[in-house]
Amino acid sequence: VSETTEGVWWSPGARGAETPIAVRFTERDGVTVVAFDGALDAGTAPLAHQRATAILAQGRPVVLDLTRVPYVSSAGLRMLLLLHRHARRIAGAPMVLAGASAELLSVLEATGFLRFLPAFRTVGEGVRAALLAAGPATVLSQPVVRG
Amino acid sequence: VTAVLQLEVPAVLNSVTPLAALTAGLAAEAALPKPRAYALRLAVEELLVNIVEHGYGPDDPDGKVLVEGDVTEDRIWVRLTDWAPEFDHTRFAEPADLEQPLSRREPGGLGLHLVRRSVDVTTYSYVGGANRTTVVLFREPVRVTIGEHRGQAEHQG
Repeated sequence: VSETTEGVWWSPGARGAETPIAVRFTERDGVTVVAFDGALDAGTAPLAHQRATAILAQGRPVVLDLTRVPYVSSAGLRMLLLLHRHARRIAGAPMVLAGASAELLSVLEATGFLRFLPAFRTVGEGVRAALLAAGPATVLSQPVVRG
Repeated sequence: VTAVLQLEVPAVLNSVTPLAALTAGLAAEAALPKPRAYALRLAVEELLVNIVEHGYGPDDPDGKVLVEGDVTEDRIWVRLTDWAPEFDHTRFAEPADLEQPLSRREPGGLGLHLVRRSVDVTTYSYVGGANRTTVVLFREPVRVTIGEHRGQAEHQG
C-alpha cells in the first residue's frame, strides 16, 4: 500500500482551549485519511470540524481515523454527521470510520450511527472499504487486495 | 471521608474541559472501569452543553454553573446547578430520528439520550430559582429501572 503523506498537524485552538485536538490527513491509494488526535467534545469538535471540512474539499473517498480518539460526545457525533453530509454533497464520496475503541463503538451504536457510517477495525480495512464503496471505476484504477 | 468536590464554571462550551477533569478525578477515586468513567464524563458534558445551549442560551453570557460531586460507599454522584429558566432535562423525549439515515437527521438532539443511557439515575428539581440536575452511577453494576431508584438519589440532594 502506497502512502503519501501530505499531512499537517494543527495545533489546538488559540484561545486557551485546554483540550487539544489535532487533525492530520494522509492520502492512501486515492483515499483521504483524516486522523483525529484528542477528545471530540463540545470544546474541540467545532475546530476539528472546521479542519476536517477543509481537507474534504478534495472530494475523494474518506476514512475518518479515530484510533487516537479516547472520547466522543454528542458534539463529536454532530461533527461526524456534518462531515458525512458534506462528503456526500461535494462528490458523493463514501465515508467510513476506522480504529474506534469499544467505548466509542458503543456510543456510535446506541445512537444509530453505525448503520449509516460503517466502522472498520483498522485504517487499512477502512481504505479498502471506502474504495469498494466508491465504485468500479475507482477500484479498477486503484486495484486493492481484499483482506 | 473526602469533601464534596465543588467547581463553578462559566456557562460556555469550553467548560467541558474542567468538568472532564472533575469527573476523571471522581472516576479514579471510585476505581470505575473505563466504560463507566466514559459514561460519567459523557453524562456531565451533555448536561452542561444543554444548560449552555438551551438553559441560558446565547443571550446570557454571564451564566454560571455550579458542579458538585462525590464518591460515597456505593455510588458516584454529580450535581449541576444553574440559574437559567426552569428546565427539566430528565423529561426530554427520546430523539425521534435515531433510525433515520444520517443524511436526513437533524444535527443535535442526541445529548440527553446519551445522558439517560449513561447513568443509573438522574433526578431534577427546581427550587429557589435554581435548576438542580443530579446523575448517579452505582459502583457495583445494578439492573434496575430508573424509577425504582429515584427516591434513593433524591436524599443526596
